[in-house]
Amino acid sequence: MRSRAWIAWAFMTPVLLVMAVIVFYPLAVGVFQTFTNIDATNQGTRFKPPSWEFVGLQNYIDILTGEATKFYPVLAWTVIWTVVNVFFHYTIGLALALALNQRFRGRTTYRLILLLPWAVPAYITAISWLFIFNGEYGLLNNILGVFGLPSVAWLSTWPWYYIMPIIVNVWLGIPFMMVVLLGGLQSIPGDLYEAAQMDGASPTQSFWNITLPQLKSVSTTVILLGCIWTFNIFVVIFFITGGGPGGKTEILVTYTYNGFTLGQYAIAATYGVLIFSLLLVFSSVYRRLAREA
Amino acid sequence: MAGVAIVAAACSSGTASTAPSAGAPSAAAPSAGAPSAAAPSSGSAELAYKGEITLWNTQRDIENVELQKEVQAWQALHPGITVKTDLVPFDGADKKYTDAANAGSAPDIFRADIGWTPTFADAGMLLDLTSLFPADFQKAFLPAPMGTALYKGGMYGIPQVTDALGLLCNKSVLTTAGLTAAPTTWDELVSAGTKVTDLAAKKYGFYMRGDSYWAQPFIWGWGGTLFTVNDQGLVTNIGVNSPESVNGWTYLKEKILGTVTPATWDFKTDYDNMNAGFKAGTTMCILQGPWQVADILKGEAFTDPTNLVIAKVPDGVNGKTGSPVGGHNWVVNVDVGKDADKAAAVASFLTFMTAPEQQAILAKSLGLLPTNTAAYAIPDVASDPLINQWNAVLAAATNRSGVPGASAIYDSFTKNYQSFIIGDLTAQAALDATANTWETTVFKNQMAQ
Repeated sequence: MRSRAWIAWAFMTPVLLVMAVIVFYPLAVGVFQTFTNIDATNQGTRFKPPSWEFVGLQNYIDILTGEATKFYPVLAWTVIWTVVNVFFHYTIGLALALALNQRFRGRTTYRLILLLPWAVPAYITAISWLFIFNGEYGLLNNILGVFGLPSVAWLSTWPWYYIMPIIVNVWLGIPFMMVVLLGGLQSIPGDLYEAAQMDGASPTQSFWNITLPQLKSVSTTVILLGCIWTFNIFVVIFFITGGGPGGKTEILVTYTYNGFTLGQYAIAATYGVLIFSLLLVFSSVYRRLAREA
Repeated sequence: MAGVAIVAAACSSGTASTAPSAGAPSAAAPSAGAPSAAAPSSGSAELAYKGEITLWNTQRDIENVELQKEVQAWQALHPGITVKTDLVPFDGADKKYTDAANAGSAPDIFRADIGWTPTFADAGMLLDLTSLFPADFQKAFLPAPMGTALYKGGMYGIPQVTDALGLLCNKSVLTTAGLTAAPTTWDELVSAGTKVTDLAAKKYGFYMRGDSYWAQPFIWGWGGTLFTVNDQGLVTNIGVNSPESVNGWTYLKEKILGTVTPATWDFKTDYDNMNAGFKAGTTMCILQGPWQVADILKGEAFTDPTNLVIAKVPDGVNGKTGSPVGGHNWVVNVDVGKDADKAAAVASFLTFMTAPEQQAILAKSLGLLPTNTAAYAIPDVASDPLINQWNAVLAAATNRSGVPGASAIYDSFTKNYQSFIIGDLTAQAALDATANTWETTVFKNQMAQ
C-alpha cells in the first residue's frame, strides 16, 4: 500500500506543481484582492508604490446590498439566460439525437452537418449571426422587407435583445448535447426495447420508461456541464449585444470583465469569487438531488 | 470590426470647458515662416544610435500604409536604425500599453489617444520630451492639440493628428430637401430632413449613434457641460446632469429620433450602418470625423467629391454649438530616457513624422487634419476644399484640458445614454446616474475639496 501511494504522488507532483502556479496561486491572489480596494491607480507599479488598503468585507457588502453595482438584475438575467439556454440545448439536442439514432440513408452526412456549429469557433459564429441581426441591412430585416414588414432594431428593442443572444447560444450548444446524448442512446441495450415491444408498449411509452431513465446518468452530467458553461459563456454576449443596450444583457462574467477593463480589480475579483461560489453551491446541491432522485 | 475601432478612436476628448478651441488652423497658418521643427528632421544628420526603435501604431489599415511609407523615408535618411512598427487595435490599446509599461516591455513610441496621454503621464510611464526638442518646437503646433500633450509643465507627446465631429451632408439630398447649404441649427435640419425622410424605406434626414461621444453635441449645444476642472487638474463640478443637458437630450428624443432618424436602432453596428447609409446616398446628414472621410468618398453618392459638404455641428439653442475635439499624440516610453543616443534618435524620428511635409501627405491622401500649423500653408493642403471646411469645424469645436482617467467617463455615460434611448430611463435619470458614477468611481480620487 505504502509504496503504491508513493508512486501515485510521484505521478501527480508535476501536475500539482503546474496547477499550483497557474491555478491555485492566481486563485489565492484573487481571493486576497477581494478584501482590498485595489484598482488600476493604486495597485503599485514600477512607477508608483502601492497604496491600496484592506477593506475587510466591504466589497462583498457593497455588491450584495446592491450599492453602486447591479448585482441582482445581472444575476437574475444570468439565471434566466442559463435556464432557457440549457432547456433548449437539452430538448433540441435530445430530439436530434433520437432522430439520428434511427437507421436511414445519409445518416453520417446529417451527423456531420449537425456538428458544424460546434466545429466553427464561437466568435466567428457570433459575428456571422450579427450580420443576420443587423438593424438596417441584416438578412432578417431584408426578409421582413420582402413581406412589406417594417424592420426591427433587434439588438435594442425589447424583448428581442434578450431573445437574439439566446438563439445564437442555443445554436452553438446543441451539437455537444446531441453527440453526448447520441452516445448515451447507443449504449442502451436493444433487448430492452425488444422486450417492451413484446409487452405491447407504444414508442411513447418506451421513450418515457426506457430511454429517459437509461439516459439519466448521462443527462445529469451534461445538464450540469451545460449550466456551468452557459452561466460562464463570454463570447456570445460580448459579440452579439456587447452587454447592451444600456447594460441590460450583461451576464455576470461579462459584467466582471468590464470591471477589469475599467481597472476596478477588487470589485471584479469579488465578482469572480461570487460566481465561483454560486456555481460551487449549485453543483453540489444539484449532484445531491440527482443522486437522491 | 474596423468600424468599432474607429468609433472608439474618436472617444478621446471629454469635457467641458465651453470655450472654443483656441487654435483655428487657418488663423495660425502663415506663422513664422518655416518652423524650426521641420528643419533638423529632414536633414540626414548622423545619429549615434544604431539598432531598433519599436512603435505601436493604433491606426487603421489605410492610414498604416501611409505611415509605413514615411517610416521608410526616415530610415533611408538614417541607415542603421530600423523602426519596427506593430499594428495594435485601438480598442483596448490603452490597457495593453499600461500592462506592457508596468512590465517594462512597452514599445519606445506609442500612438496614444489624447484622452490617454495625461493618464499615462500621471502614472509615470512617459518621457518628458521638453528637453529633446528645440525651445520653440511647441509653437509650431496648433495650441489645442498641443495642449492635450502637456501635463503639469511637461511635454509628454507630439500631436500626430487632430479631429472634431462635424456635420457631413450630401449636397444633392440637401437640394431635394430645399436647402442650399448644410443646416446651421438642429431645427433647420429637422424641418428640412423630414422632407427626405421615409423611415420604412430607410431614407433618413439624419442618423444617430448609441455612443455617448455622439450625444455630447446635444449637451454643449444647449449650454450644458460635462464637468469642470481647476488648475490643479482636480474636478470641481460635475455638470453633466444640469437642466441644460436634460433639455438637449429631451430635444434629441422628441424632435429628432423617430422623425428624421429611427426612434431606436442597432447600437452594436450603428457606426458601420451610419456610414453605409450615407455612402449609399440614402441619408442626408451624419455626424462624423475627418478620419472617416477617405472611406466615405469611396461611396457611390460621392463619386463626385464636391457632393460632400462638411460644416460645424448644428446649433442647439441661442446659437450654441458643440463638437468634441479628438486626436492622437506620439508618446515615448520613459525608459527611452536612459539612453541619450536612443532618445535623440526617437526625437529625430518624431520631428520627421510631425513635420509639415509629412502631415501634408496624410492630409492630401487621407483627409487627416495636420497638427503642425505650417502644414496648412503647404499649397496642396491650403487649396484642399475638404480640409478648409474642417477648419471651420475645428474653430467651433469644444476643447478641454486633460485630466488623468477622463477617458473612462464614456463607459457609464454610454450605458445610461442607451437606456435613455430605449426608454428605460428619463433624460434626467440617465444623466443623474452618469454624474453619480463619475463622482463615486471615475473621479473618486480627483474631486476637488
